[in-house]
Amino acid sequence: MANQSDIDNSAQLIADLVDKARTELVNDLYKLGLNTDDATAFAQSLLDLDVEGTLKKKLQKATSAYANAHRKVLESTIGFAEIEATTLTTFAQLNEQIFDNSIIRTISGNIKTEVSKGILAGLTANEILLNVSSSSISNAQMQTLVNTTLNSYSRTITNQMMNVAPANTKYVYIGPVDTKTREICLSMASADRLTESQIKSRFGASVLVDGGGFNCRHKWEIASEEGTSFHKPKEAKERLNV
Amino acid sequence: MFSSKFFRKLSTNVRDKYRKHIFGKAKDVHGRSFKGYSTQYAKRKKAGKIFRQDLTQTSTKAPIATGDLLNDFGSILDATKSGFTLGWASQGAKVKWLEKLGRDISTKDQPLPKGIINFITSKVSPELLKNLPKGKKRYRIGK
Repeated sequence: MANQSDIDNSAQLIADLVDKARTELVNDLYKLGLNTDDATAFAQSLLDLDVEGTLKKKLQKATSAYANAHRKVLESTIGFAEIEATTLTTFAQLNEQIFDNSIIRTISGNIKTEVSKGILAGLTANEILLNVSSSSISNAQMQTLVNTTLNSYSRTITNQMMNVAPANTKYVYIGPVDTKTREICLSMASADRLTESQIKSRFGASVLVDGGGFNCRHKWEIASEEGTSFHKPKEAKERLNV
Repeated sequence: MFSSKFFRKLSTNVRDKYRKHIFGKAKDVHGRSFKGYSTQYAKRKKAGKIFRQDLTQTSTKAPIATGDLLNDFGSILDATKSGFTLGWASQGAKVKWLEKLGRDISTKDQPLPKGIINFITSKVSPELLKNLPKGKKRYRIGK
């Protein structure tokens, strides 16, 4: 039987694979830097280079390790109706895509910054590698990435419902209102029931999938007549005013 | 007989009733109060030491730590004319894990608390009656 620790355990494996891919890529980039004396030209060629595409190829193993772990979790998901196998596959592919995008964007941005900084400062390949490693994703951060991706995936499923729901459907922002809650999440939680277009115009479209960002514990969802004690506009307003 | 609009509305009400029962009243799917935690876990939860913990829910015995399980529960497919699907899109494995710990929040035999099943029946039955064809129809049996 699969359980959540399948994904948690995979974080270590993924972190190792990411480390390997990152080292290979930094070495390739460093060699590129050695072939030019002009730091500005190097920085430009770095910007022109498809770092994301290259990293994506190198990270295929990590992505499939994550996808396999998630597929096991999905297969054990309880629904109150039978879910077709094709739907599960679509869900797994969707989540794989989200994971791919977030991890590759984070790491490639980090590598680009560190390599160009290192070249400009006259650092050696090893020094640059060290900088990239120390400023890049640790296992704890990988855990965060996995958590964040799972929650973004959950929001994406809700977002798909939004796409087919009538335009006048109202939504509320649910989740904890405590001392850890970010200001952006407090602002959204303090808002009353809003339509999708009102949410987008007030907070932007990305909040529908990303919430308040990394490690966010909140989400927009369809408001019910039943009402929910997990939408806390009053508490959020009070905390905003503190 | 039914419309997807009817089931969409019903599904959000069922979602919130279910959340109130499990996470608000801290009762399992059979209607029993959740049993206490191990001393060590209870201490960590009370102290708010769990990573990303919802600090407003430190004293509950309901399965709320970060709130991810609660948030994730909802429609995982759009409602159709024949029904709706509620479940967990990414946290389903936790449900199985909780079941192993004797903390049933949804099982194959009892997916929803009895009260919520009655609520669904109370909404579906009048809708069904409302949409049944009107008038009388005579059936001749035999020759």
